[in-house]
Amino acid sequence: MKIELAHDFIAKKIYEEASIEDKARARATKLVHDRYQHYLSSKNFLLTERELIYISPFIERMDLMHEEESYLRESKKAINRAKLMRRFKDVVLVALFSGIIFSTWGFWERQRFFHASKHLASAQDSIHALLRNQKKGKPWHSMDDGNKNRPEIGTEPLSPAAFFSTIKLQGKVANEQGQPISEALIQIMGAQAYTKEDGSYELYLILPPKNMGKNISLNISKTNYLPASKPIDTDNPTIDSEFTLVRE
Amino acid sequence: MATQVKSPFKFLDSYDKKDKAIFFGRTQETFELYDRIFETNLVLLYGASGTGKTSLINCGLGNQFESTDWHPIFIRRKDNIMESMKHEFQDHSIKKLDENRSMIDQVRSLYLDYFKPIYLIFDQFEEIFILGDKEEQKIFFEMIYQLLEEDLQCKVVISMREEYIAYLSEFEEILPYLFDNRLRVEKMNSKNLKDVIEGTATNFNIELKKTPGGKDISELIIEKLRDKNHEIDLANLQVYLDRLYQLSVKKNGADAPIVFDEELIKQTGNLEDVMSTFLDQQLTILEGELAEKYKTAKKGAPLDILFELVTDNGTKHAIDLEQIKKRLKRSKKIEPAVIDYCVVRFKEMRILRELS
Repeated sequence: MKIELAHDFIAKKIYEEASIEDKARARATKLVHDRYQHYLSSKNFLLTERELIYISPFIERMDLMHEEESYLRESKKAINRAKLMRRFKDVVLVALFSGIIFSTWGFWERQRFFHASKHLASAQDSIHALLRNQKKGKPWHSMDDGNKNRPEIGTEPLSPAAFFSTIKLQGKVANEQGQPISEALIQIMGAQAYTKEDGSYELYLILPPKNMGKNISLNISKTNYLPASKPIDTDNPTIDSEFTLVRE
Repeated sequence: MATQVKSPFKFLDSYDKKDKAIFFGRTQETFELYDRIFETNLVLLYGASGTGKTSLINCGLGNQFESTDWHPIFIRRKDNIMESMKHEFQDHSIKKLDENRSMIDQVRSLYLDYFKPIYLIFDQFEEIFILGDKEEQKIFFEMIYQLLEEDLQCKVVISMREEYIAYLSEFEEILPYLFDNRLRVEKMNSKNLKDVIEGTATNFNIELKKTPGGKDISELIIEKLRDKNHEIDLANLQVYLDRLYQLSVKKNGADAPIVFDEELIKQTGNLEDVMSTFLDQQLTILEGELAEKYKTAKKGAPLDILFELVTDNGTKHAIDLEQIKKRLKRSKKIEPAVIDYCVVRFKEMRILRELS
């Protein structure tokens, strides 16, 4: 037996008097009914996670058909599957991302190691060549043209320091009147020093083999004076240079 | 059980053909509807809730036709409009209809059964939009189009609440002349309302006693029931007239003549909302009865039962009683016996009815 209210006026008043909870339950039930009807026409219309959250407080007290209950279960399963897939994707993404980072880092470290090994091998070759020459009594600077002016090492065993030469730079800086200039900046290959009260300076330059025999500029600068520079002969272990700075 | 005298008013029921003598205030609309349906095969009747659309068709239009001129088939959606149509066709057929035959064939068969034009009257058609889905709506309008395009002795009246009329527009593609013959049922004006009150009172031998100042009691009722828009809903009027009737019986006794006077109207107090007052009163009565009869009955059960019959749009919704029992047992732990008792009482109170 079907029954209905006598008039929509009554229905309206009942709806107004009903509790918010009852209205929400009625809406949730209608949502399931409607979605299930859509589902019947297309199997793709399962409940979304948000819809399931919305109806979950009322499920126990909803009057649903068996088919609708199955539909709810299937929706929940699909959401759980989707969640699992999302987690799996996240893990794969993190793994992939970490893999890329570590591979890049590994490749970079490998390159560094490779270059270091190459340099080491080259250095070892040089050492071996020097040792061989030493045993044969040849001066080490006769190995190539670039090193022909190197001081002889003699019969002392070679140390790593022997491959670098140390040049002592010294001298004085004065103005046009011959008065000493203190605090003038002396620069050469990144090394620097300041003149003392009497205008004198002293600087030790450790020269790598590749710069040996080349002309390198020694630069002097001081506020209110024009800068000056002078090439130095790297073949000399001690270089004494006098500078006269001209006022700007 | 509290006894209540049943007033002769229609209350919340619609007027039907036999109520011709007490159907007032809709003469013009009745003629207009009759003319429209006479001229065309499809009429759309719409208006606010409580304007008496169903009564206009059942009683107004029904009494315009001679029984030999038409064979009306009233169709409500219930669970599905197409299924309801099939059931109604079966019920009306003299020669058993083959359900596998098309609707067109079935209507043709019905015509041959009666040799009278078949009038398909879809009442409370808004239900298809409140409770139905797009598929059902589309199938329905396609079927109506086919019916109207066939050379059949068949006419269609669609009656619905105006709030839902916009939903029809998307089906104009299927049924291009859907809006061509539409008729809006307005709320009744004061003159027609006065006719309703006075005409009904005369028919039921109710004396409308003028106020000491010489004012008609019907005018006093109209003034009391006007809402903020200065309008009166017919449902509210019916409920109020019933209330006056109950008060008169209570005051003078069931055998005494019924008199509506100023004093009686004053007794009804300051009515903010006739329908809410009526509903609250009935619910209070029923709550009291339940507390006496079923000690374990849950408070608020009557309202819970009624709520099952309301859609989430706040409109009525026909539903199977067994389904209500099952639902409320589960959701509210209301015993079926309590529901049965409440349903019987609600019927007596004329709050709900069986759907035939």
